[in-house]
Amino acid sequence: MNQFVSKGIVLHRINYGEKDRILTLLLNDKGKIRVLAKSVRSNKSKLAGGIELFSESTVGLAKSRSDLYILTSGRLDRHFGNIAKDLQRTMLGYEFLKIINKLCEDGSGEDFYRILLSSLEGLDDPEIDKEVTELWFNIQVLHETGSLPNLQTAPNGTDLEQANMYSFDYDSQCFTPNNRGGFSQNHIKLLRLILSTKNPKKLVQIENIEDLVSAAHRLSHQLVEQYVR
Amino acid sequence: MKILLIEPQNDFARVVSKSLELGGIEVLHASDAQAAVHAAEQGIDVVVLELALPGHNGLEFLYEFRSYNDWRAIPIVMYSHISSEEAGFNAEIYDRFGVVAHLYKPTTSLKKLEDSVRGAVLEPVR
Amino acid sequence: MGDKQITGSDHLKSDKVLKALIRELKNPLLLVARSSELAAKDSRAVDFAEIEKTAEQALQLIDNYLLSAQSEYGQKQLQLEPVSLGSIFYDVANEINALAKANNYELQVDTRHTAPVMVDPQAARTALGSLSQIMMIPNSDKRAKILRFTAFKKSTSEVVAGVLVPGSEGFTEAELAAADRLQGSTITVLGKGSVSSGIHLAIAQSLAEAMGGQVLPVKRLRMKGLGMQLIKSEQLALV
Repeated sequence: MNQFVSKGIVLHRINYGEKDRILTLLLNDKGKIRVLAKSVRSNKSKLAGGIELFSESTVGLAKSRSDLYILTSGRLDRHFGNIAKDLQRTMLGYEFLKIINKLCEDGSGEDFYRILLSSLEGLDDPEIDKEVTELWFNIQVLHETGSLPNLQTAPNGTDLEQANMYSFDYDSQCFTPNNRGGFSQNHIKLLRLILSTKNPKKLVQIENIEDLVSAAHRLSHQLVEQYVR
Repeated sequence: MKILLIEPQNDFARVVSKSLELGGIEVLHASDAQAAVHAAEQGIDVVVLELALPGHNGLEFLYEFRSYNDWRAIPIVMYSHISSEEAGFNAEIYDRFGVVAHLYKPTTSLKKLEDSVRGAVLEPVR
Repeated sequence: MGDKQITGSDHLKSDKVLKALIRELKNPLLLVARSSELAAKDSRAVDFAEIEKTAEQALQLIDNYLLSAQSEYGQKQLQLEPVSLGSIFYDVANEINALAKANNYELQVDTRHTAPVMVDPQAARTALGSLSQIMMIPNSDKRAKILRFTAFKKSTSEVVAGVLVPGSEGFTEAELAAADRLQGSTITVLGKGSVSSGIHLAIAQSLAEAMGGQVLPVKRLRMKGLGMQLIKSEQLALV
């Protein structure tokens, strides 16, 4: 059997037979795979089975004759325990897993590993507002899927710095100058900054970010609904 | 009818159980999500669930519970001191998990709980 | 005897803590309300002694909050005096005995290393009682779990009064720090099986700091829990 060890995050779990589980894992080096975890439901810990949700684990895997890998070992490296302390963070956590699961094809999606890990770290950190983490996640996912709106120019090609206020045009996926628009230059700067940051924690340092997050978050959420889900 | 009451406060669970049992409803009690998954194997008709559970919370229990094919049609009655507004739940979430009622403990009498539990078995879970 | 100036701690200066208190009070009040409803159906089905104890616990929580809030806001000065930790432990054990039984815990008091400490007796009892409530994670095992009060030397001038449970996962410094920020969370601030709203931790931290100490995670032999670091008394205990 071809055996290897990787770091992975559980995206999904379903039960298989009386004692087994099929896990969908996102590995940091191999992307999305499906794994048969044998007899994990026969021990006391049905919800854990050695591989927890909202965790990063080191997993030992062996290729089987079918599409499934076999889980040979699992060690919990980091458990993002603060997520489960808050229902809305829990819900967001599951949404992140669901979106990433949907976006990744089997055998690919390593690029989403970093996004997912940083987003779970963000949800786990009570210093970071959950809306900020969701905004960061949405922008990263939109960028990775090629669905990020134009953050540089208006539809007519002019630089976005030239107007004070903007509205967002869904047809052209651009910000257009509009004195009655809901977005300022600071919103656009925030979106650009999010693209360049490796994790949501960096955003907490921005002064008065709370004033900007709401509108940006609403927009990002609508775009994810439209292009990703 | 047999229900699974998932309630971390043992003394409160005793009161609720007694009340339902007086109405002829058999009650299995589990005080956390882990124990609840084990208890459900005994065969139940309805789950009565407190969201604020120690360890894995009620939402995590819902995801886990619904991943078992045999249990997909069992209705859930949320009976929690977290209201639906505070939880941030909407109709889509309730539909997704087959939650037929979300009862806020401070304003739900034992009688209303019993009526909801009886009503739950009559409502199909999609 | 000495008066202690307010340390400037601000564990209670937050509407989130008030929310935690309100959330915590829901449980005993719900129990009383629903027990009353059940009693109307069948009075034999209700343990009236349990309802009385529950109501008293709710009142005690309010008093505990008031003591720590008054201390923090400068409305009440704590009076430190040399007190034997053993006597504090026994007092707390008596106060929480009924609650321990209800949660399936057996209390133990270890008085082997209980040196006198400089504390306000009421504040020390309140703080330790609060830490006990955190450690009494609901136990649905058939066998009662042990909750042990024990003390040990931290340095030449400091003693730790610990509330420990064998086999407990305990808490880390990071979790205690996060608890402060998680106040107002919809479920719990400490995790690890605890359903604590955070009010007990806030009260214990506030009072510990008002006595020149702090709340910290504790590990002794195979037991883990929470403890309160206190100043050792150079005088003989008066009690």
